Amino acid sequence: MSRHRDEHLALCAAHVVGALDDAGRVELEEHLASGCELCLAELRALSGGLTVFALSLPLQPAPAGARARVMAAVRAEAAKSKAGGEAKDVPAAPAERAAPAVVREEPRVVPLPTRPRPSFATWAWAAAAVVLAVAGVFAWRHTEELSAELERTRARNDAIRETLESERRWAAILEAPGARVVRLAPTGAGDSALAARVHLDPGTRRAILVAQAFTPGAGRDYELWAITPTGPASLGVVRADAGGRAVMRLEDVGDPATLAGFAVSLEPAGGSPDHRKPSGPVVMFGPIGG
Amino acid sequence: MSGSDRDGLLIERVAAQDQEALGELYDRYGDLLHSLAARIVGTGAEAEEVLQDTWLQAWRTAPSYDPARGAVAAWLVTITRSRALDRVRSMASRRRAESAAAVEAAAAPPPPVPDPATGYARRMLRKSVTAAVGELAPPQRQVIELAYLEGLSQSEIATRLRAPLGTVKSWTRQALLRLRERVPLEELP
Repeated sequence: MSRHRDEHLALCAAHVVGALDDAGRVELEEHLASGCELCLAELRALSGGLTVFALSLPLQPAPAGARARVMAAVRAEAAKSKAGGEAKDVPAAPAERAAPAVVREEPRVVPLPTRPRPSFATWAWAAAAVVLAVAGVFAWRHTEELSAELERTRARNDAIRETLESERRWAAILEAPGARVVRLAPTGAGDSALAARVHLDPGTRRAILVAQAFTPGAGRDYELWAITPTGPASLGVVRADAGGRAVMRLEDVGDPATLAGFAVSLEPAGGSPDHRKPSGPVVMFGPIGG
Repeated sequence: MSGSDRDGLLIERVAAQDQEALGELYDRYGDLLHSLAARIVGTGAEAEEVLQDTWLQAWRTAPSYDPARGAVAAWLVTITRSRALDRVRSMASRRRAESAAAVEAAAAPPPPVPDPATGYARRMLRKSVTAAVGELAPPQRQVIELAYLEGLSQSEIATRLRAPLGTVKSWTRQALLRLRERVPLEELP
């Protein structure tokens, strides 16, 4: 039994944020194995705190087809492990019986009983068994291929259906009653050719950014911000195509009643290290109602 | 039934190889895990791959999930963070060949939104968690970000912040307990 010490609580915290070294991990695991209720309760509380932290990160919804692709991968994994399990159930071939024993001693002549020659019927049965086995393998492989194709088709259909529904919902933003268009203008701190507007549906708090001439240059990214009463809040890095055009869908831009506007900053690749504050110059701004 | 109870039942079903249960967990946590992955590896194809790795690992290791050590959400978040940092390490050598994937990902539409009641509850939750993190003292927030999002050890964090190791340990614990206290998460929508 490993006695509880206060240091174990610090080990729990380091473990939860993934900052525990190997020695600490071994010590903590040994201690937890002794069933320390204090440390288990601590782990539960700390991991709850970590979940709160994770929930505070800027929302980046998974792409529409991601669910179908994840489920297809899981189905494939389940099928693979099932097939593996069945294969394990088949008894191993008695290879050692088939392989002749190698005798390196001086040969001693021992008369062996004469082995009876296989009859025609035996050969016929053996040949039929081989034909059946080969046919079985081909049929099994064909079925496997068909099942896999069916799975892929289902996944594609799921993805297409989800995409279609999603597109409809996003298209509805443009026609939603009360929808607003916030135009962002260059501030002078960046390229004057920058053009962007945000279509905002206050009812659902969703928005679409449409941008042009977003070519931040190597090693840099443009980042979109919502200007809230408590300061800026990152809405994510704007990914443009090679021509500098971007369409960014925003699931929740914050409370439209208190939003002051939107801004774009020029950041190091990947965005500002602090998602509550731009680290680079603000190159565009558009006030709501402006 | 509380959100945690429901998650507990779902993970038991996943451990029994129930794919539908995994789908339900995905619906509850897919966006959260993708957001975390995107924060660590950047948005785009890499984040989705992390998401896929995470769910596959959850599928394989659900039988080893131990509710005594934390909620299902925390378990999933921890898996995601590990897979994301693995990917960051493997990306380091082939950095910056990702623009095509990023552009493709940016064009991909987001998933269906939850029903209005759940959507509202989630927005409220997001508001309170953002406020809770915002109320942390800056060094407390930094130690969590450096450890959790950048994969630094506590010694490395102590060096980076020029603070004694013992202080870093204490900040980490205080920050997590403060967040837990501010948002108990008994009812994750």
